[in-house]
Amino acid sequence: MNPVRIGRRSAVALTLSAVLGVAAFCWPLVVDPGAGIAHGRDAPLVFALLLPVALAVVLAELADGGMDSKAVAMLGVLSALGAALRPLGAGTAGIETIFFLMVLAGRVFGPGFGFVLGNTTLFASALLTGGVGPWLPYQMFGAAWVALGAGLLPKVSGRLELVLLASYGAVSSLCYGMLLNLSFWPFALGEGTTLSFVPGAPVADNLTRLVLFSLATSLGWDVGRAVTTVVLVLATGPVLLRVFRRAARRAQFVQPQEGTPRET
Amino acid sequence: MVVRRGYGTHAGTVTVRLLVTVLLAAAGIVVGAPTSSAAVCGGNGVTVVVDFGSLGGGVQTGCASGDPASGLTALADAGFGYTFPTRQPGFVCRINNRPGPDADPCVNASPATAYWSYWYADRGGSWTYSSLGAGNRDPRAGTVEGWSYGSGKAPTMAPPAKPAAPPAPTTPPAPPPLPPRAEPTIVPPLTLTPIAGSEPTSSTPPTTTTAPSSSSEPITTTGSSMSVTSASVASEVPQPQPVASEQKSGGSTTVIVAGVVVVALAVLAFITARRRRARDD
Amino acid sequence: MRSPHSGAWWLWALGLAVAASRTTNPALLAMIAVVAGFVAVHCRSSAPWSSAYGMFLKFGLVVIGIRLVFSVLVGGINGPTVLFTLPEIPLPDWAQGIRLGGAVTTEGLVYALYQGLQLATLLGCVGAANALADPRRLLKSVPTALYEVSAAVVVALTVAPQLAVSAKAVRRARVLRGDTAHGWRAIRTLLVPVLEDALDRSLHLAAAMDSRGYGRTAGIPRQTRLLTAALVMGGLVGLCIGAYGLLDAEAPVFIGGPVLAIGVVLAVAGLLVGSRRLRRTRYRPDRWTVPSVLIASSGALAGAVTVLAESFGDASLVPSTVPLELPDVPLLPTIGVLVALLPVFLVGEGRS
Repeated sequence: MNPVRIGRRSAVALTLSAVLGVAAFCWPLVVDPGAGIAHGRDAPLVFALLLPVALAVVLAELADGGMDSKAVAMLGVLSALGAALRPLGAGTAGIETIFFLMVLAGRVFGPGFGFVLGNTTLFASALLTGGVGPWLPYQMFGAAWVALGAGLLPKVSGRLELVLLASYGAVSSLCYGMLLNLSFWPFALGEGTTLSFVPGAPVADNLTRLVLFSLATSLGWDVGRAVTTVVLVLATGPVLLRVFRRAARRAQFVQPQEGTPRET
Repeated sequence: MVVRRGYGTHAGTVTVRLLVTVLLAAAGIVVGAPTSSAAVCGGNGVTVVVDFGSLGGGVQTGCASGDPASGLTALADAGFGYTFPTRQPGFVCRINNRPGPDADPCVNASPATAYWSYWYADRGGSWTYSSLGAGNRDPRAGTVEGWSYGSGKAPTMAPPAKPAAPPAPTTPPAPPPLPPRAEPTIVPPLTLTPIAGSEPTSSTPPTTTTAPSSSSEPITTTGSSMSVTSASVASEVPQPQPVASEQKSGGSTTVIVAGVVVVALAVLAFITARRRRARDD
Repeated sequence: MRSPHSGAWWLWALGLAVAASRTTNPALLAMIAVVAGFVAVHCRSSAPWSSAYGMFLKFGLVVIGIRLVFSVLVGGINGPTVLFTLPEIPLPDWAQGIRLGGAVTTEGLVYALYQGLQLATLLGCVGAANALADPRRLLKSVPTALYEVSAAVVVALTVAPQLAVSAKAVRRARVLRGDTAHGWRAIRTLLVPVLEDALDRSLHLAAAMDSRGYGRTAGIPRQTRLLTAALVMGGLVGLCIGAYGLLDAEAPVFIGGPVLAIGVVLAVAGLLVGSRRLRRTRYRPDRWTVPSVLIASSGALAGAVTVLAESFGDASLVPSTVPLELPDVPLLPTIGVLVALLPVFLVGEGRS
């Protein structure tokens, strides 16, 4: 039994919100040059207003499917941990101390819990630091799917599990950075420079410019985030996984299965 | 500067322009005037052909000497002024201030039925529509650039042939006796917009200050030696001088008032912030 | 006087942000930034988040700097007035159209400056909202359907400072025992006790919540459940189709904005209907008092006037950069933005 079940309705809502998310993140690649928002100044802001609606609906659906007090308390504490860890890395190039926690928690507590955790962690962190802005819905959405994905990874155990989680952390944090760049690049750089987004240009051309723009700006951060995640997953993974699993057992999220070695 | 009578008036306008430059530079903004070169289209210069099409004015050619870095530089070097739409810069919506503001407000990119299309060709070759914008395309030395107004048709004049007689079809020996358009190769006054902030070296003595108002001076000046080709289209159409039609008088006073309000509020905010911080501590 | 509704500050800031997103006129942008800043420093409380405006302002200055650097290095919009020329670095063919170095023109710099100023002003508006709105009270106003999630966030906001205290306690205990671990070992020896402590605390918290009747859901009829599901799914589908309509110019006009609006309305209705599964009372709920409404509408007015001026074709909202023109002040939008100073007169200093 998972702390946050994904029922049929929640699954449909998640899928639909994912479609909207793809549009919000990848709009520069698909936008029609004749469309009203093609110039890139408004699209990120419009989607920043639409994404919260979709997120709210999905979260309400997940909560409706059953979220008991223990799940809420666990979510709160883990979000607090993430929000407290996050300022440690802020300002230092690329040290992102939030991803490893969400990957590990998503792995132990399941995809539904991971999705909610991604949202609450980023939201609480933004509230604590006064960092609410148009980027927040994108970050929440991205982090939520990263943690959800961690919950869907195949079952392996031991050292292999750590390697799997570490490589998932690396790939997902790189993708997260790239997608955030993709959605905000036309907005952040503006039009007119030769690295700028050109609506309607061939996808390959726009991607070339995006990669060069990332290279010039955030690639250091993205790589730093991936490296931090890998190092932290490998270093703290064995301990944290054990602590989380014990907590999950004590909260009776999971019935102890036969054959599972008892950890103390 | 609608009528040119002689050098005296000319010096006057230059002084005005200098004043405007200084004024605007003081406001942090520098007037842009196209740098021009004498239209001697040598072996390596880039010939620029501008077909005004339905706007009237026939086909004009100019010459950008040297190796201009982009199609836009070539256009400016050949003595044509251009305007970008304010919301979508990068496109060209006006050349030499045409079409006028009533035909195209120049806010967004021009419609596909009436816009400045950009072409290139080898000398004596045929026109090719450029897939790159004029700001991003680097014309090879000794080629021809074409601009045509309309729905995307190539300029009606074929690209001028190789310079068998050195100064190709352009540059008749003397400035044609059509006064309204040809300023007699005024290189010095046009180079006086050098660098933001730096003092403009006064190449002309500040003799007369005719018009003190800074708002009556057009900002796109397109004076250069430029000639109407003797091609069939070269009808004699008085080219409208770039008149300052959009400048509103009194604009500068509202700017000053707004500036004062902004500064006052900023100072107020700063004082409030400091007082509150002092009180909180 | 009760402090204004937190949502009012966000609506006020959103209105100013809309105004800023419609213009690149430096005079109007400076006016917006200054108005937002003045209201932020005047009306903010002394809470920790209220210094957010300064942080966002610095961020905005960085953004302007980045824009200028990019404009110098990779070029782009260029006018005829060349300031100086950087050596140009040739790039391979696949990077066609991209250049490094080259001529730097006044027009290009001014254009980048205008654009950067616009983004910085947007950040300033968001920063002002962050400084002014109390996040905890905002959380109280979310629909009941999101009760569990907002409860988790409230728990997080409360526990995060406690974690720091807990970490300090563990550290001191270690040091007293003569354990001077550094580096990774220190993290492990610190992390595990803190985490165990936090997770234990979460179980206690859950027990406390259960004993206070948390999670008791009202039985809702099958029909209401079906209605909620239909509204929510309809809303999401509407959002997806609307997004498609926004991105595709060929799509019929009604698919863009109108379908999006319908989607949002359906989704919000779904949230409200879904809220019926929980009955909960609020302690001292935020109310939309007259000052709150006035604050929200003053910001909304600034945005609305600017949008109107744009639709009437006010050319001074976007001053021309090629050729350079001295920007004119758009009169109506400026007055509208000045109206957004209203909160200064409604809210006493430090009373937000």
